[in-house]
Amino acid sequence: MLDKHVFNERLKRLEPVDRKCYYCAEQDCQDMNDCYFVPLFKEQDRTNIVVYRSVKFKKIMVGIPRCKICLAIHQALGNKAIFYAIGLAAGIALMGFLIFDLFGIIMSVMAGTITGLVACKPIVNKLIDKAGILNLEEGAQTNETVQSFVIAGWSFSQPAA
Amino acid sequence: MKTVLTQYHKEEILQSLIAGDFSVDHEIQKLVKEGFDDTSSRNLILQVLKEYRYELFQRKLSQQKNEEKKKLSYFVLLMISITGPVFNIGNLLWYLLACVVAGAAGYYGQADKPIAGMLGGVLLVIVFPLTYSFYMSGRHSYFNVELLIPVLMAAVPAWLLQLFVGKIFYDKDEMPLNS
Repeated sequence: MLDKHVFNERLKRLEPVDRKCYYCAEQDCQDMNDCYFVPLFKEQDRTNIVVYRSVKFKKIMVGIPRCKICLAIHQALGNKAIFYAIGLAAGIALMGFLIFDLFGIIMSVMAGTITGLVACKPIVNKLIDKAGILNLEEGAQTNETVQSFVIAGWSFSQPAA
Repeated sequence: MKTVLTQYHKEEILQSLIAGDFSVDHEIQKLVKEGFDDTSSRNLILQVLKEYRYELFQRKLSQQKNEEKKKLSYFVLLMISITGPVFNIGNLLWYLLACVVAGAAGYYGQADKPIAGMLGGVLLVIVFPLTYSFYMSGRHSYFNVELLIPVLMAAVPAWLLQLFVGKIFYDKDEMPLNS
C-alpha cells in the first residue's frame, strides 16, 4: 500500500515519492509543502448509549503531489468561492429582511448561512473545473495510495459521535 | 503478437485474484502462451489490477456516501417530526411543509430504495403528533430523552411501510432470472 509514499515521522504524514502533479498532470511538485494532504479517518471504537455518545478514530494525512500553479489556482478559487458563498448567504438574508417579519428575518439569516455553507464546496469545485484542472477531491481520488486506504476501510469524512 | 486483453482474459485474472492464488509471473506465462509479449502482458495485467482497484474504491466510496446520507436524513427526519408537536405548532401549513421535507429527506437518505424512504419519512411526520399526544397526555413535564419513546412508537409503522414498499417495488431485481 505504501510503496508510493514515505512516512514523515516529524510531521506525521505520508509524503509522495512520485512528484508528478495529480491535478494538471503536466508540471512536477517542487516543494513538499505544495502537496495537498488529504486527511483520511478510520473509526476505532464507538460508544452509543442513549444519553452518551463517543467515537475514537485514527487519522492520517496522505500527500497528493501538486505543482505551484495548481496550488495557486486552488487557493485563489477557494477564496473566490468563499466570497460568492457569503454573497449568496447575504442575498437570502436580505430577501427575508425585505419580505418577512422578525421571525422571517431570523429564519432567513439561518437559511442564508446554511445555504452559504452548503454551497461553498460546489462553487469552488465548479470554478476549479472551469480552470481545467482537477479539484482537491478528484485529485485525491485518483491517487492509488488513497484508493488502497479507502478500500481498507478508511474514509474521507471524520467519524462523528 | 496480441496486444489487447479480451473480457475473458480480464475475468480470469480477476478470478484468480479473488480466489487468492494470484501470481503475476504465472499470469504473464499464461498470456505469453497465448501469444502476448512478455512486457506488454505485464503492463496489461497491471492495468487490469488498477481498474479493479478503482472499481472497488468507487464501490466503497459510494457505500460510505450512502451511509452518511442515511445518517443525515435520520437527523432531519427526527428534527422535522418532533418540531411541530413539541413547539405546539397548530398550523396545517407547517405539517404540509414538514411532510415535503421529510419525504425529500427519506428519498435522499435511502439511495437504494428512495420511494420507500420517502413514504416512510412522510408517515413518520404524520404519526408522530399522534404518538406524542398519546404518550404525553395528562403530563405537564418530561425529560428530553423521553421524546425518543414517541419517536420510536412512530418510527415502527414508518419503518414497516418502508420495508413493505421496499419489498414490493425494489426486491424484484434480486430474484433469479430463470424463476
